[in-house]
Amino acid sequence: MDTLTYVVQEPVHQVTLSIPLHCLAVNPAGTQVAVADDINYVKFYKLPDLEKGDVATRFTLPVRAVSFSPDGTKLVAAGDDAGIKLVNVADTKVLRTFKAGPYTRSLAYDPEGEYVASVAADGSLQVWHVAGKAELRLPRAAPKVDAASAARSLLAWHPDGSLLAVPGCDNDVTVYERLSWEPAYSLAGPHSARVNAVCFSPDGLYVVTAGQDRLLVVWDVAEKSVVATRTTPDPVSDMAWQPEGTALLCITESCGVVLWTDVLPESRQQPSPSAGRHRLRSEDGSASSLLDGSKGTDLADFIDRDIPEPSKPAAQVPAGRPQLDGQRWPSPQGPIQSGSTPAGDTRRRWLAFSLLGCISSRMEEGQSVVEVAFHDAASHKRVPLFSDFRDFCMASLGPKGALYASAAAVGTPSMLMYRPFQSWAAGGEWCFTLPAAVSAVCVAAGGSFCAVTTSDRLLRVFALSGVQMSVISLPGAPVALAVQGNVLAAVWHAGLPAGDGSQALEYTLYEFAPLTQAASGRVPLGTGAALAWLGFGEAGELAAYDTAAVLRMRSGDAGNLWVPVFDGAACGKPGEVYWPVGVAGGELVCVSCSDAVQHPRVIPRPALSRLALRVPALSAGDDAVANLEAELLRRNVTLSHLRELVGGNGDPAIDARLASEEAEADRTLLRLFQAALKGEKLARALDLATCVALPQSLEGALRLARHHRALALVERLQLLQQHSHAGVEDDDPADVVPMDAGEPSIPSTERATPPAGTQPLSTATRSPVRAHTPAALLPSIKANLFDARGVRADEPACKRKAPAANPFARKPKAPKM
Amino acid sequence: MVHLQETDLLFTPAELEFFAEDEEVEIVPNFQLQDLVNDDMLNIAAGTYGPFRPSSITQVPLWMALMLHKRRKCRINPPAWMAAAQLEAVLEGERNRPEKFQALPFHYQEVAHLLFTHAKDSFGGDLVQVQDLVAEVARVRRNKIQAGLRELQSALSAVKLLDLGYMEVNQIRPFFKASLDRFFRLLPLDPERQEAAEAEPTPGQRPPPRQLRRGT
Repeated sequence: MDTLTYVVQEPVHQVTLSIPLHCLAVNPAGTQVAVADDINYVKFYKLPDLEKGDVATRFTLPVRAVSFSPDGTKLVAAGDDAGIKLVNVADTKVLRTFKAGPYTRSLAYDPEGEYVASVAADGSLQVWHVAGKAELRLPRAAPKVDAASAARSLLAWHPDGSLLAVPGCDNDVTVYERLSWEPAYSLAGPHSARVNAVCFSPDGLYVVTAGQDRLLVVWDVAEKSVVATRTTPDPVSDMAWQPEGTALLCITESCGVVLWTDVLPESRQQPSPSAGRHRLRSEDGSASSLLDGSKGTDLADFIDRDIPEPSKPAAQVPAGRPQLDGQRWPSPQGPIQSGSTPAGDTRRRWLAFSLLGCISSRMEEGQSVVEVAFHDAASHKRVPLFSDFRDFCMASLGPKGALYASAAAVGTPSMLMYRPFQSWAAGGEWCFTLPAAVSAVCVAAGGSFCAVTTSDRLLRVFALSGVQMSVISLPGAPVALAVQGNVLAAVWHAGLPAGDGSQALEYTLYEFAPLTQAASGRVPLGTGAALAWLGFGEAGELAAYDTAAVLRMRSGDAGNLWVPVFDGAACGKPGEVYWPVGVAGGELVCVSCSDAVQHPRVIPRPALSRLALRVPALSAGDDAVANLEAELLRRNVTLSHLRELVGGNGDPAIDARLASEEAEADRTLLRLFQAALKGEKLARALDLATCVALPQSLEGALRLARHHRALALVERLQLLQQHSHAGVEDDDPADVVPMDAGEPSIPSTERATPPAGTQPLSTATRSPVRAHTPAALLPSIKANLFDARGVRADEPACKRKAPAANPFARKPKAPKM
Repeated sequence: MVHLQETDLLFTPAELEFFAEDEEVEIVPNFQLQDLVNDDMLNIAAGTYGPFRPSSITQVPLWMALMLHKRRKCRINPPAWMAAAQLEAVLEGERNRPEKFQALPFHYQEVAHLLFTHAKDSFGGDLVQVQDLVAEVARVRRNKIQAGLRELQSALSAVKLLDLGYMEVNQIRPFFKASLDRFFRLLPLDPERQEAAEAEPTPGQRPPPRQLRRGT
């Protein structure tokens, strides 16, 4: 019976579990170990208690190798069965089976998480992209070994992922270069028999090889020279460096354990965190998997790792900016393409997912198939599938066509292609090749133009026919792009992120055509958050969703004002993650995903959920009132945006939209007004009444006040109405101003807040008013309204109890136009 | 079990399917119902359904779902109990607990048959597996019902059949009723019973009828 022993040096902690096993791997976080047992199951055990977890997967023949991905979310396992299984650790689903032959001897997951390398018993070396494609197949690269023997041909990645060391055929170790997969050099000399195992030191400076000749050789990676050698009693089958890189723990084929301390001679600089050139993976590079010699032998396996000291940076921190004073600074976020899912997990991915429709890509042999589908099948014709030989990795769905782009790779430039859905002229499709070494970063397709940002910080705008309309230099590295109507929003890095990880992003809104820069400013994000989605609201408000699950919308007020309209943490259910698709009708349209998988799968096609937007208004005990105020605040975002648009052009559609939005806002205001009357809060009611946009609404408010017998309020409302009428009768607002005796005159065109004296009046519910409505005059007369003039200050607020009947019961749509 | 003609049954399977079409299912429409007054809702005699918005889940009766599906206007989300994992758990429960029936929808066979006939694509790659599982669950339950009926051979014992589907009830009803009638008629001929009946002070009086349990 084999024993699995978990030993932590300090504090002394040892758990022993007796299970027969073939091989094991510890995940990078050190929280669980995957063990391949004698009935060919791969099972998880939790560390440090070795408590039994899920079954990851099972094979019919013995499992020879298991390896965790660097982020610990996936596991690869293979053995004498054909195929290498890629398992998602969270739900133990087999994401993909790489089509490898039988008798895989060893596996190594690339430290950057992109590739998996495997060596088979027949000596073939294969490198797989995690998306499923075989990047490299080299027959006879490694020594051929007997499938029933204990030989391993263990290969290893350099900790920075740039090199792959594989035991070679001539008693040597061949080192392959990443991406080109050409042999860079080979380490040969001391070994007189084939090499069994290779292992890089955690800092990447040294590599140790163990041969069938019982020799352990430590090499300097940079100089390719032998640093130290040592003979072991038996051939070594696996080894692991101590995290500090000073000692080496080996296990031999006859089940002995060898600990080699002081591996490096005195003259050599000890590999330590301060000296490490490539210390990317910190202590977890050495979380070791040690294999027993052969099937059925009794031996103890060791997992030897230190408890990470709290002072060290967490292992999961991705490779960041250079260390400053030992502290790791957050990196600027990568570019985002709204509505796309990452490649890799499955063969299918979403390239684009918007309210209009979606574009998916399906990997097939050597090519991918791109499919465009509209949510509303009736509104658009079917778009035929097309085979994509250019590896398009981003796309954007516009109302008239789709824009695709591929990233630059070695030897292939970045491509840009637009495919219209239908065109009156033949050859509506166009294609551009970007200059070498320049890669497309974000794409966006609109109804009249489309745009792409590139890695050389250019924003290129094309007409739908492919005419290049403009090339604009962006001030920073592009992050996101969104288009709606004739408005284009580009988001770029304005600087390095703050120490807490908050990204420093700025946006610019461009209008076409003619090209004008409409607005620019900082994109607000939560603490430590990055931008996750960029899009537009129904009326054209710019909306940004961050990784802290907060949706903010830009209101047209005073240039650059962002209002948080949705908080996923407060509104959502626990364990749910929202993947935004769009904003429509006061709702966030999104796909609900689980914590484990934070983006939707392609099959089955996700259904959209709609979550009501809610501005985080405070509640003074009455939730109904707070909800109404939250609704009003949200409507004000759209209203102020529409008012800004009306100022810009006289589009009748926008006017109609503004009118209906104003009516909706007034309806909410009047409900609040009535609630205030019922609560006998007359000052509050008057303040609400001054915010209404339409004269009919003011009339309704007056009727409500009369019904509730609030005479003081009625008197002031009548005064308000008089001023409004005066504004309507004489169009020149200058005539009105002298009526306010002693008040500073305020031009009606100025939509700013009233003078400082009137400022503290319920700013939360004040709606900015339209320039051409009578309500625009309110700021100037407001001071009068709230004076005691004309009304006795000590007058009782409510003379008689109001009857219970609601006048709105008879006229339910009183404020409706 | 006796083989029954369709005419023996109270309702034909087709009639039961008709009843089952009122069960609600989730669909994902691919069209927008342009009705601004009712907020994309559909007002019909059977009730108010919707809102119908592209790619948003909504609940409609099965008949409407099948009608829309036939016109390629929606995807049908199979009910939760038709997930392969759920059916496997039900099958396991049916096999492991011979005395009890697993809770399945009253119209489970009819709904499954309708979906398997008219909306095969709703199940994706799981179709064959789900079909086999539903058939297997139905078979195991039928065997259990027969085993339960066999226990009725002695007139004293009772058999408890809770959580049966409508189709299952419909199948056993004629036989069940007929055999109970027969038992009742044979009861006076049973010598033990007769002795017991003579011992009773008022032989003609029957015990009060047992309170029937209302089905859930």
